[in-house]
Amino acid sequence: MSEKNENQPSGRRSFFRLLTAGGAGFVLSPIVASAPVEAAENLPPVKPATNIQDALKFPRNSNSMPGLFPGVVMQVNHTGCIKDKVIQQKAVDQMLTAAMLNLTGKKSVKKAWRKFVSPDDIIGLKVNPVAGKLLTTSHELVKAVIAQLEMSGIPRKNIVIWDRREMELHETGFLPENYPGITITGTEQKDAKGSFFDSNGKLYGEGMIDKDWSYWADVEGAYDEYTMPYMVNGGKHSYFTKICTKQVTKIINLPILKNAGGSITLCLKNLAYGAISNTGRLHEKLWHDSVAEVCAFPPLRDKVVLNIVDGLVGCYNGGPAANPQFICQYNLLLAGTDAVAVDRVGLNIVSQKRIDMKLQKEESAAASMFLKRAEELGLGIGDNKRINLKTIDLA
Amino acid sequence: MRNYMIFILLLLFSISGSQTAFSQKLTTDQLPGLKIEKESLYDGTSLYGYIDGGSTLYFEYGFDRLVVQEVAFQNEKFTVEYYRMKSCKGAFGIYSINTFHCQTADQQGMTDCENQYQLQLFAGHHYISIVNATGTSVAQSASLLLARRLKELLPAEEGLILPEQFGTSTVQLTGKLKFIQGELGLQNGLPDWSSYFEGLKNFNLWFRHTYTEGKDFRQALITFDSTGDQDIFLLNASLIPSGDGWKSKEDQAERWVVKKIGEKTILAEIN
Repeated sequence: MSEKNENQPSGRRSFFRLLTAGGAGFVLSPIVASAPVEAAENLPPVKPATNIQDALKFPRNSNSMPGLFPGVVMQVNHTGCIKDKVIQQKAVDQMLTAAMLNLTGKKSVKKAWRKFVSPDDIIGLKVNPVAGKLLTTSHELVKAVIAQLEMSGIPRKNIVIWDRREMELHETGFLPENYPGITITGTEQKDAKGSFFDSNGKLYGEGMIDKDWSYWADVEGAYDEYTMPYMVNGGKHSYFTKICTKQVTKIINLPILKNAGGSITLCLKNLAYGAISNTGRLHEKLWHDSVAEVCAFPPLRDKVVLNIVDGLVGCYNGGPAANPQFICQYNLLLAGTDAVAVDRVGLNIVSQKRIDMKLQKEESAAASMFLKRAEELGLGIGDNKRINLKTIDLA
Repeated sequence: MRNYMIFILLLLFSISGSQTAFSQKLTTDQLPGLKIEKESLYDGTSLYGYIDGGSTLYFEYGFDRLVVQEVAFQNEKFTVEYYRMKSCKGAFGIYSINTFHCQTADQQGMTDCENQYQLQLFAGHHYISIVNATGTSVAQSASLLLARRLKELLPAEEGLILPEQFGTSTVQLTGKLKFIQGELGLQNGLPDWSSYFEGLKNFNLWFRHTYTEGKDFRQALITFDSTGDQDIFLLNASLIPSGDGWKSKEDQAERWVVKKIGEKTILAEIN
C-alpha cells in the first residue's frame, strides 16, 4: 500500500461525516438548515477523516476476522485458579484446554489448535504488558498457550511473543531466559545501553515500522523529543509494525480483562494500539473509531485467528494502567475467534463489576461505540442478542 | 557581554529547574535502610512512554512531570510515583478520582487513602502513589512512613481552595469530594454523569457526596464555558425551569434542585 496524501478523505467518509454532524435529521429536514447559529455551534464535533476505505479494498480470505466461529464466545470459570494470590498453572492449563475443545468441537488439544495454526506458521502471541508487573498478561496463560502449541506440533522457534514496547516485555518478565527458544520482540526498542537510538542517531523503532501499511487519520501527531521514541513518528500516518506485516503469519491475541474509563481495553484495543506507531494523536477524537478501524487492515484482519482473554486477574477501574485498589480476580478466561463478540462479553463483565462496586448505575451508551464501528466494518458481532456465549465452570 | 549574562541566567534557571524536578523525591539518606533501586523522570507528553493511553487523563488535569522510583525499605519493595500537576486543583482532581473504598483515609493530618497494596496522597501540586508488592501489614506501615517523609519533602505551596459552598463543611476530603474538568475525568470519576456533559469542554465540576442519617446527599457545583453549554447540560439532565432555577421532572427517580449562582455557574442538590 502506498502512502496517502495527508489531506485526502474519501468520498464515503465525507458523506458519513455529514450524517454524524447533524444526525439523519440534518439531511432530511429543511427546517434544520435555517436553525440559529448557536444551534449549529452546539452540534457534535466532526470526526476527523481516515483512510479506512483503503483497508476495505483488500479482499478477505479464510482467516479474516471474525474467523471460524463468528459470534461464539467461550467463558471458562475456575474458582481455584488463584490460591493465596498465586495463579495456578495447572488450573490455567485446564481452563485453556476446556476453552479450546469446546470452541472447536474437537476431542484433542492438537486437533483443536490445528484448526487455527500449522507447523509452517510463524505465530505471534500478542500480550499486554503496558500496566507493568501488577497487571500484565499472566505468564501462566502464555506458558499454557505455548505448551499447547508445542503439543500441536508447532516448534518453539516459530513462536514470537510481541508487543509494541520491547522494554515493557522485558520489565514484566518476558525474557529469553524465561522463554528459551522463543523470539521476544517489540516495535519500540532500546539497546543494551538504554538508548532508543542507534549509532547513526536513528530510532530503532523506525526500522521496525512498515511504511507500506499505514492508518492515516486527519489528526496531526506532534511530539517532543522525549516522547518521539514511544511514538516512532509524528504526522498523520500511523505505520504498522513489521512484526505484523512481515514477521508473523498468524496472531493469537492475549489481552487482559481491563477497563478503559467506562469502556474496556481488550481484544480490539490490544491489537490496534499494539500494532501501529503514532498512537498518541488518536486518543482524543478517534479512540473508538481507530480501535476498530486499525483492525480492519489486512495485517491484523487476516492474521488474528484466536483471542484468549486473560481474566484471571483484571481490573474494573483505573485501567488501562494498574491501580491496585481496582485490581480484582475475575477467575476466568474468554476465548473466541470473533474479537468483537469476545469484547462485547468482556464489556458485560467489566460493566457489571463497575455496577456492583457502585462506580456506575448502568453501562454508558458510549462504552460500546467501538464495537458498533467494528461491526459496521464486518469484523465481528457486537450485539449481545446475537452472541452465542457458552459458559464452562471448573472447580 | 550581554549574551554571556543571558547564558549564565539560562544556565542557572535550568539548574534550578532540574533541582526542582528532582528535589521532591526520596533519597537514601532520608530514612534508615532506604534504597533507591531505579528512578525515571517523565515530563511533557513523554508520560505516554510510561502509561501509554492512561496518560491522557493526566494531561486533561494539567500534567507537569512524574518521577518514578523503585524503592526497597524494611525488606519490602515499593513503586513510588510523584505526579506534579500544573495546579493544586489538578492534583486534587487526579487524587479524587483515583481513590476508592479506602481502608483508612485522611490520617495524621494528611489527605491520603490507604488500601492493602497502595497508599495515595495529595499535597500541594502533587498526587503521589506508593504501591507495595506484598500487601502485608509491614508493607503498609512502611508505606505510611514513606508517605510521611515525602510530605515533609514537598515544597510549601498554596493549599486547595475549596468553593465556599463546600469549604466550611468538608472535614474529610477523601472519598467525599471530587473535582472533574473534562470527559476522561467524568468517565473515570463520575461515569453516570458523562451523558449530561456530552460535547461540553472547559467545565469545572466539584462533586460532593455525603451519607448522613441514612440518606444520600449529593451536591454539584458546575462552572461552564458558556451559558450555551449550561443550557445543554440542563437539557441533557432533563431539568425543567422552576422558580429562579430548575428541577428534575416529577417522574425522575432522583430529585434535583438547581440554582444559578453565577453567570455560568450552577449549584445542584440531589437527593
